[in-house]
Amino acid sequence: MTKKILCIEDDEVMINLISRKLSQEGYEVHIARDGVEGLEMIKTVKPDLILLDIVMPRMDGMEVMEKINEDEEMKKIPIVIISNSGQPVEIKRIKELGAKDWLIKTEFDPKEVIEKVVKHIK
Amino acid sequence: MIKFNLQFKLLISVVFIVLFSLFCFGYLSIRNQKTLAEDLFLDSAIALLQTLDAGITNRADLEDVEKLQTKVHKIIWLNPNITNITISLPIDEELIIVASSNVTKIGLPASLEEVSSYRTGELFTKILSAQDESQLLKVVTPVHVSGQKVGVYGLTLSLDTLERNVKNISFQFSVGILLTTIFIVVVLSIVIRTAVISPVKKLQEGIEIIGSGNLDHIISIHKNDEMGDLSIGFNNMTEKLKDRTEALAREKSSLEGKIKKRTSELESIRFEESEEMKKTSGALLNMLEDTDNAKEQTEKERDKTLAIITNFTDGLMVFNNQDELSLINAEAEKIFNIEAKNVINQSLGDLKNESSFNLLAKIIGRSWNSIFREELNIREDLVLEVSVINILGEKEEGGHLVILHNITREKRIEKMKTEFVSIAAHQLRTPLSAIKWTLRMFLDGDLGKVSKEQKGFLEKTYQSNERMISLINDLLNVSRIEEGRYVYRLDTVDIAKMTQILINAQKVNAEKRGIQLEYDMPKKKSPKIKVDEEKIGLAIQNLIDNAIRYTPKGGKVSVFLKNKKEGLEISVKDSGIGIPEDQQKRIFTKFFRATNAMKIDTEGSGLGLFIVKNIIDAHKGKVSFKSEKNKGTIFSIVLPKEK
Repeated sequence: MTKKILCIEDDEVMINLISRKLSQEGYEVHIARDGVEGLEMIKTVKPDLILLDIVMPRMDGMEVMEKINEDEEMKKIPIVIISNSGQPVEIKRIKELGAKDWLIKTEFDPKEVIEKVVKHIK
Repeated sequence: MIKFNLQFKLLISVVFIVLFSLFCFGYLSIRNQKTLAEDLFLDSAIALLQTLDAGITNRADLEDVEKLQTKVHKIIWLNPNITNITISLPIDEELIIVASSNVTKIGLPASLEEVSSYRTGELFTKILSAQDESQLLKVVTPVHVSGQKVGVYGLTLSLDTLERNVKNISFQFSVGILLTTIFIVVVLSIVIRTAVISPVKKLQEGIEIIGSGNLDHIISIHKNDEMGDLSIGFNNMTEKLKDRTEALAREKSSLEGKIKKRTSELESIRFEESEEMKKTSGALLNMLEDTDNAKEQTEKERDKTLAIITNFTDGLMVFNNQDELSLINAEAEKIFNIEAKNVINQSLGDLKNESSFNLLAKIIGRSWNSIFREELNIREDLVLEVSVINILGEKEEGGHLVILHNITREKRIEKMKTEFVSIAAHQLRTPLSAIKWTLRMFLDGDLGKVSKEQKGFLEKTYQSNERMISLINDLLNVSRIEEGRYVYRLDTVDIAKMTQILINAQKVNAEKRGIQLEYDMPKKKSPKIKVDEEKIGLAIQNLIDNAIRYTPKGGKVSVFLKNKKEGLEISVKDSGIGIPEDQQKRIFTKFFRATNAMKIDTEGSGLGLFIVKNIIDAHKGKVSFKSEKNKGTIFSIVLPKEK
């Protein structure tokens, strides 16, 4: 069965690149452009893994994780954060909120994203 | 006056003594004389009566009254002193006067004295006062015939003669006393004059003469008594006085000579010195003025210092070496909402009880030495940065200065800045990431086939993009360093483990460049030290990165840790191009790049070592290097151990 990955990301270029890469790898990719949309899609799509950006309009990644933590079912879905800044404060918060792993966009390339996805997806 | 007084007193005393003793003696003698005369009188009266009695030998003689009367008259005639004489005989149980010189009394009863003498048979004497106040002596004695008492004789004698005699004697005696007294006084006055008064007078005159200055005068009292001794003593004294006076005079003249000499010397010296003195006093005045100025200056400085402390915008507290609060400025009072007078001189322990102080006292109380810019949230709207500085006196530790820097505003700005950095990073990094990821996918052939030539261009673009990313990262770090808030989180970190992770991350890069990367993870547990993990990681990473970057293919980079006395040493050694000697001094300067490094790699920002230096400095560590051109470089970081 094809694994479903929900990518919550607002940058169009990134969405295109990631979805393309993941599709090539054989995953079913769903896209949400902000946190609000992302949360709704988690419920409808029920993904096997979430790729989550932090800085987004309407609802940022942190808030999304807070909401996920409130729901027992959603909490089970592994989350990999795709972050821009990688500041220590941010990393600390990400860990606290239960993200499995994180990627700093400027330091990782698409190949490594796939590696992380493979590592954490059930 | 003295002379008269002495003589007068002596004479008066003597006269009184003589008069008193003579009067006593005279009085007693006269009394004695009187008694003696009275006794004689009585004896003569008794003798008269016996004569009368001798004429009466039998009773018949008594019965012849006329004969008796004749006898009585005869006795009276012979003795003018006898005023009356009676003979009384008992007739019919009653004693009747039978014969009397006073004829009128014959035939009358006898007096009481005669009756009692007749009855007792004893001699009776009594002194009577006559009507003309002359004294009379009455003698009564019994008449015996053949040893039997037959009657009584009565005899009355006038004592006038006796009195007269006594008076005569007393008068003669008084005259004698007076004459004797006058004689004694005259003799005594002469004796006193010669023995006492004249020597005393001489002595007095002598004293006056000697007193007026004539010490050669000799008092001549040639006497073998106390006065003589006194004059000798006095003369001796005068002689000694004379000697002394002479000696004194000699001394005085010699002293005068000396004084004159000295005065002239002094005058000359004074003359010489006056100029010098003027100069000296001038200098002294200048010095005093300088001292005053200095004092004023010091006071000004002190006031200034106090003013600075009091008005300092940071809260300042000074604890002395007994941990007692010795100074607190207005800002600190405001921060803790306390008054200086309530807390000054209190020890740190006592201050813990002050609610507002509690938090601060807790962190200060831990250890004076370990506080380095600790943040303290006193209230929601008040964040302090607490620094403790040891005040070092010249000899001993002078206490601690606690600086309370209100960083509430900075905290707010910092938060804003963090947000800004985050946004800026997002804004800059997002496109850079997009470029990176796109190029990567092109290079990996994910976006269709790419020709070899195209791949070459894409590869170079990718590298440029990477450089831009790293430049942005460096710039962000530098801006944070320059804000002075680079080291935030001090945690106990296992450096050996951390280094291993860094080495692992660099392995691929090293392999790609054909460089051997070595790391000897120490078997012993390296000491735990408190550092900002991320920053120290960045510093070590920068050193490893540089080593790999500036070492030619086939070279070797080795990393090793050493536990040293002063701390933990992390060294990165390479066999690279080295740093030219003339540029070694500038190696930690911002944006500086060595000439040989620039030739090899044009990408470097010149920020790496600047960041390393700042990170290590912020940790109170040391970074040093040894380098030889074309042979290699070894960089060493020493991080101080936790005390």
